Amino acid sequence: MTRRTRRSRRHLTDDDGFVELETMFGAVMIVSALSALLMASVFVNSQLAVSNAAHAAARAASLERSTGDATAAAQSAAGAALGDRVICEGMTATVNTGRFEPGGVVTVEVRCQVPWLGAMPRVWVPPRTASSQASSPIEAWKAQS
Amino acid sequence: MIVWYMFVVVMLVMAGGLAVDGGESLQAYQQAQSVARSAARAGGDQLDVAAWRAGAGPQAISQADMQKAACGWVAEAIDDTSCQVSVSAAGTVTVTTVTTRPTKMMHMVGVNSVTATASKTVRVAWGASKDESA
Repeated sequence: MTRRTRRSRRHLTDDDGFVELETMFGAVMIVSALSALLMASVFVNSQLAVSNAAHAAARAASLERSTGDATAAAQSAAGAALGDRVICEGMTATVNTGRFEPGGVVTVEVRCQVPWLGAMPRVWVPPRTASSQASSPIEAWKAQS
Repeated sequence: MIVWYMFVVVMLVMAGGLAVDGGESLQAYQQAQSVARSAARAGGDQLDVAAWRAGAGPQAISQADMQKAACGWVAEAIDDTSCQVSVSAAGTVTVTTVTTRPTKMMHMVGVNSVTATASKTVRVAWGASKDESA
C-alpha cells in the first residue's frame, strides 16, 4: 500500500457517501431554481413586450379611417413593436372593430408562444402563451374616408 | 453543507419572486400609462364644438363630461384603478391613474400588492390629439 493510499483511507469517514449525495441533491436544487428563475425572467420580458405591442397596435388602429386599414395597421404595429428583441413565436393580433366609428373604440389582442429556454426540449416544458389586450378610443371629430 | 444549499435555493426563489412581481409591477405601470393616455384622449373628445367656435377655448370642454368620459374609460379598461382628471387653461387634459395589483410570489414575505401611478397629458387641437408627454 502506498503512502498516498494510506493517507486517503485515514481521512475516510462514515459521512463521505452522504456528502456526495448531499452535493448532488444541492446541485440539482440549485440548477432547478436557476432554470425556474431564467424561465420566469424570459416569460416576464416577453409578456411586457406583448403588452406594449398590444397598446401600440390599438393606437395605430385607432388612427386609421377604415376597418381594413385599422386591422392592417394593428398587425403591422404589433409586429414592429415585438420585433426580434424578445423570444415570442407565432404572434397573432386580433382586432375588434365592432365599434369602429367616431367616438367609438378599437380593441386589439396580441398573443404569442414563449418557448421558454428555446433549446430546451418542448416535451419537458411546453411553450406558454403570452397575451395582452388593449383598447384605444377613436376620436369623435376625426374625418371619415 | 445542506443548510448552505437551502439558503442558496431560498435566495434564488426570492430572486424569482422579484422577477415575477417586478415584471407584474412594470406591466401594471405600462397599463396604467396606456389607459391614462387613452382616457385623456377620450376626455379631450368631450368638446362643445359650438362653444369652441365661439372662442371659448379650453372652457369649451365640460369638466363634468370630461371627468365622466375619462374615468369611465379607466373603469372599463382596468380594475382596481383610481382616476383623476384635470384641464389646464392652455387646453391640455391630464389623467392620472393609480392601479394596484396583488403580488404572485412576494406575498410570502409580506408584500401583498404593487402600486403603479401614471400620468398622461393630451392637448386638444383641431385635426388631431397630440400626446405631449414623453
